[in-house]
Amino acid sequence: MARRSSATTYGRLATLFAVAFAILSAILALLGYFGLPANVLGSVLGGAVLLAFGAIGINAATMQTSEFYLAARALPPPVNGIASAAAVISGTLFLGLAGSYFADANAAVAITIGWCLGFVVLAVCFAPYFRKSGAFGVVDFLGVRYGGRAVRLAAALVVGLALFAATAAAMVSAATLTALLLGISAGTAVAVVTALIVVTAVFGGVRAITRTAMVEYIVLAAAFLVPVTIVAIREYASPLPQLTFGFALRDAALLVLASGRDLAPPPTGQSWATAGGGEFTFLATVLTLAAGVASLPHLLMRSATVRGPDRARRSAAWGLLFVLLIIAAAPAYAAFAHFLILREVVDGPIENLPDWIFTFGNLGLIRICGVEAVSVDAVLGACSGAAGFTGNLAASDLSMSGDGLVLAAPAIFDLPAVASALVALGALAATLAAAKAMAFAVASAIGHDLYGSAREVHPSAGRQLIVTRVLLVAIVLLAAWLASDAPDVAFALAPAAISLSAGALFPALILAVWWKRATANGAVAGILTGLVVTGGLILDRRYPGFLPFGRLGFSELTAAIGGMPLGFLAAIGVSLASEPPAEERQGIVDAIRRPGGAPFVQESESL
Amino acid sequence: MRDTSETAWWRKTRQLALATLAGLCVVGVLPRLVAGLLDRRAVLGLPLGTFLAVVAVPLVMLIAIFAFTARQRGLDRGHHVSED
Repeated sequence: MARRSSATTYGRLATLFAVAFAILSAILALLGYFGLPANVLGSVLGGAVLLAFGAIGINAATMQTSEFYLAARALPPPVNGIASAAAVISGTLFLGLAGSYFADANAAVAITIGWCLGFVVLAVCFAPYFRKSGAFGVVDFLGVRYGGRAVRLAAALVVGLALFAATAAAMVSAATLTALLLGISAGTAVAVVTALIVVTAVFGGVRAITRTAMVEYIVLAAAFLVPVTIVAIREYASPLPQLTFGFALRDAALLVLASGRDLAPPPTGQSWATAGGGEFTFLATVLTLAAGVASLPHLLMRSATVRGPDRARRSAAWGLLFVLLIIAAAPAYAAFAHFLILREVVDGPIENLPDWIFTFGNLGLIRICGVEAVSVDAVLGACSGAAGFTGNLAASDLSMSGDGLVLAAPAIFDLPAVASALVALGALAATLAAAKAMAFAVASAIGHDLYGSAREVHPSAGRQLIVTRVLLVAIVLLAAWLASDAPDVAFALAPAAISLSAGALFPALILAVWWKRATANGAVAGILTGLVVTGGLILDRRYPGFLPFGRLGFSELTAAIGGMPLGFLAAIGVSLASEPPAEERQGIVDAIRRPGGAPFVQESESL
Repeated sequence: MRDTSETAWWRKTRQLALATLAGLCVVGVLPRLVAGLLDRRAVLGLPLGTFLAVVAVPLVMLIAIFAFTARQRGLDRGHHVSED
């Protein structure tokens, strides 16, 4: 009965929101057609939807601890799958992946496959066992399995380091998009985003995060899929851009051939599976993502919100479906954009360049002849000095940042202004959902998993709840400060979330379930070794010369390829050198593995 | 593990997990590694290697993950260790 009522609640909310959102978008599209200015369209659409997010979050406020931390463990797997997808898509996949296909297809293919494998690893290796343990978060899970305070401390350190910069980076993106949509200053936008995250996460916890994540997913999916589907229908009479973008690639290549000029090879006009990068980079990216996505604390903790191990496994499968709906359309953005830029813009007079070139040039996202495309005069000035300049734009003159591709796509696709507002809103929804989920994961790891388990304090459930809420506010405010003060640092360190999870948490998590001989000392050694090595390689990337033996060339994302194997070695080596775990501890592993029976940690004990 | 039935269940669970992960790892990386050979043919306007890596592999993984959950549920029920 409870399951049915939970499914009904979420189903009704999703239907109501989707219908209202579709009607509002249609009305605004109509008003836009009759001349309503684009900035007003964006403000009305953005303002209305952000107010709805806030209202849904406040309406889900709860004082019950099991609702706050676990949504009462009653979420249907598809709903949990949507919330999981919304928590991880963020700007990285919504804005970044299509840009990667545009700029560096080898990396984009690796990212796509790595994310898919990550959900497979989650379903196969972690989700059901995590749920069966009864743990609330990653720190709690490792603490339950291995026992002792040191494991919890080491894991909480990793969760904090991995997710804090990513939270700040998501807030930077959210604030930029809010400023763009609502036409407000950057400082005010940071305040709006901070307030929105606080009101939706602090009062309702996971319950509110899940409800808002569901409607945020509706917005981001509509925003991502509608524009590219319209172009697929218009250009190739097919509603499936995922299956027609190959024709755009073929047509782009034909345009290059037909031009008879020595145009730069289009980034999407060659085989994507072999473009750029080497096999090592490809494999390193796939492996890091597979391990890192499965170990992401804010994704893994969603396994705790369903009724049992089998549903946790199915949640991961649904999560992959909802992530795939978005990432499968990303290559279509790159292909259609490339084809339409070649067809509509390249080889035309520079004086007649479309307005969107200068809109995104002013944001630093488009360069022509080596300068930011801020005006016709600036572009003409830069290009006129080039050898063989004819007054027309050559493909090799145009350089577009991958990050701006999705935002610029509605203009490139020649869609109405409401589509541009819709895409910006979708990106905002994706970043807000991720920021909330990550901030909550850090607060819960410290407030519940660490502080709540301290025997010397033995806090009551009510006190834990207050501490977690205060921590959540503090983390969001700190992230807002970093977002305002050093956004470049936040962006540079954001990929560390996946890399640190893979390098420091993955070995301890895998061994927790699949090797009974693993000990608490081994887990601590594995976590700290993975953290130090992966963190060292990330810092070496940012601060050349940080490592005394020279640069090793890992990126922020692939740094775990150094940390993860050494983490495994340390965990296994120290475990073998220690006394085997006691019978009682090995019994816990058996209980975690077995789907039937009561969870090892009962909620009444933990709260 | 309490008895031989449960030991057998865990052995089969481990085998299923290993087979799923190993199989999907190969499926995931192989098209990229042999793309040079595959790209001589085209599917839906895409070189075959690209088509497999970008379109087919994610779809195979999605089907495989649902198939895995169904197979594991059957295994749990068959050995009377399921949660229901």
